[in-house]
Amino acid sequence: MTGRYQRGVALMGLPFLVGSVLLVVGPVLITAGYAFTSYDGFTPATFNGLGTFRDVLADPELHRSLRATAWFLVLAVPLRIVGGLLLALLADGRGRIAGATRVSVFAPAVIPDPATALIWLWVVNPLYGPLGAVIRLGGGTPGPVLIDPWGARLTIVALSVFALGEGFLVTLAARRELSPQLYEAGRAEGARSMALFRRITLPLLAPVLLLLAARDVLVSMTNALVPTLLLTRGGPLDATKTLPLLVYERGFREGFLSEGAALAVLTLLLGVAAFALAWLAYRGGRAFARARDSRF
Amino acid sequence: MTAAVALEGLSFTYVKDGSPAVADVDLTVEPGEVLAVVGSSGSGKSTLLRLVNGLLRPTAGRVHVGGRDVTDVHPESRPVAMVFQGYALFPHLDVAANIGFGLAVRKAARSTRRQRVHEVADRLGLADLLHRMPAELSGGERQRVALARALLRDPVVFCLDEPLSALDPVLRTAARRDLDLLLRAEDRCALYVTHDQSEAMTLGDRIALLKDGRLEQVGTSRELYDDPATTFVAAFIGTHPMSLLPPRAARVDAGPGVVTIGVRAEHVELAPGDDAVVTAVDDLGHEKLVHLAVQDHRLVVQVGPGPTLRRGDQTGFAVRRHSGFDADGRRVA
Repeated sequence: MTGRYQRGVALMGLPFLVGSVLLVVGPVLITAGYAFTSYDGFTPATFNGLGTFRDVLADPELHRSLRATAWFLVLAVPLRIVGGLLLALLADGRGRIAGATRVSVFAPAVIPDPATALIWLWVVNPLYGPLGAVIRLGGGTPGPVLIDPWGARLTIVALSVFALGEGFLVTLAARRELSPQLYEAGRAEGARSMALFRRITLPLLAPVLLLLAARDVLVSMTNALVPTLLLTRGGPLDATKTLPLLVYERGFREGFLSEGAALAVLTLLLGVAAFALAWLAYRGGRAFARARDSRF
Repeated sequence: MTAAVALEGLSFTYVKDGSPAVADVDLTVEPGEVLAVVGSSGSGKSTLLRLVNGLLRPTAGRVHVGGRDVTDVHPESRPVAMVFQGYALFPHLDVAANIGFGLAVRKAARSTRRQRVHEVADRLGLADLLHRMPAELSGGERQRVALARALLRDPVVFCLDEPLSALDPVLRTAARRDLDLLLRAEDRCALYVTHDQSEAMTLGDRIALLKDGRLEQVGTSRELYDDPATTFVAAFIGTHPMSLLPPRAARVDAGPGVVTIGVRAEHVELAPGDDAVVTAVDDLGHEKLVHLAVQDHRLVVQVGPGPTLRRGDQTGFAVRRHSGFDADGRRVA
């Protein structure tokens, strides 16, 4: 019986397995292979050992890109997680207003990236965008936002924060799993709203939030390409040239395929390292909290 | 001696203009007394507890605890401790932190916390479990942690919300005895909410039976069992509820105004005759319950293990003792 059941599961999982080998594992291995060559797509690849990595690592553009990526992660990930948490707590009611909040928070997540990018081009446009209008209302003179490094960075961050719908939804679902009786017990013991949040909600949601953050770091590092490409093209002065954008430019626009591959491998390794760090932070935090709470 | 808990005209309505969950309840609990509040689900018994411990504010009426009007007092400042259904232990905190949660919230000094937690943990035999997480405890241990958390508050009254319902039946009997011993040993009063009338009868010094937020009857289990105030009480209390039928069908001369009589299974016996038909026989080992159809009404008779009756047999019966109810279901005789 169980044997048959497991065979059934394996059989049904097979298409997925084949798909991920062909479409994910294969390309990753091929990319990793090209990273050790010198290759431009026209002449045959020649083995280059770690030479390509050496070239790429010495490239000042990589350093600028790492800085741009770091800024993006440092600003966007916490804002997305904290924003998702706050909105989930706000929208966790019944009734029409909470329902409307849930829909409006989630909606930006389903808008395709190119459309979002176009919306934000309009938002920050100094002549006819709402941001310029607000600045004029306040008596200021709006300038072009996207040609300023910080203006560009913050616009990209704002864009990504508005699409926090998935994290919001996961947080909301996790929040609703918490038993109302825990809050009754907390209130009966004298905890008011801040203490309830700090002592019950936050520690119980912490695993979910940290998992979301780890995933967010990984996705932001490896996946945040389209908005930056369409909004800023990585500029000004490479302020928003995140790693995926650099990989795209080096590999596809400039045709240095082996360098693009090496950069992609580096990006993937950094992403996994960041994910592992976030996970270790979570484990450490949990052990610390447990030690702290039981000092009786 | 002042009552430990006194409720005056207590009412609570969840939705504005909706029907009240608790309606005009007057109730007192004496020091050292365990009052079992019993009723079917939705009868308002959990709401009543939350009005006593302050999680809900009454729409009308006053709550007195320990001789003090606490109607406007926050839950943590009331001398009331709550044990929740399912215990509501914090899953991310170990036993010690669960017991000391209230002290931590009130920012008590660590030495005080440690001392108080160890004190109640010792009393409840939890000293070796202080660093376990709730998920690592058995059902009975969880109950003791919940009780320890309640005991730490040194309350005038314990509010217990279905404290045994989370346990499996085997554990329940033992836990019920432990709970009884603890409540007696502490000599504190308790409001004990349950939907199980047999639990109410064994644990409660008195029983308050709620129906639709109103008190049907308050009294000792003997009073509720022998002299139910309404037909609802008659049908609710007792492992075998009272049989309710018109006096004429039972061939009882019940007096004026009585339209229904209630008969306990042990207060009726089989007799020669043919005015009833046996519809079922439950053999419980030490006794048998014979279900009779009398005209269109049901009558349950308790008999010894002796006589053999089968479904379809005809028999007579004689009612030895009964309660009489009027057209509104209220007791008149």
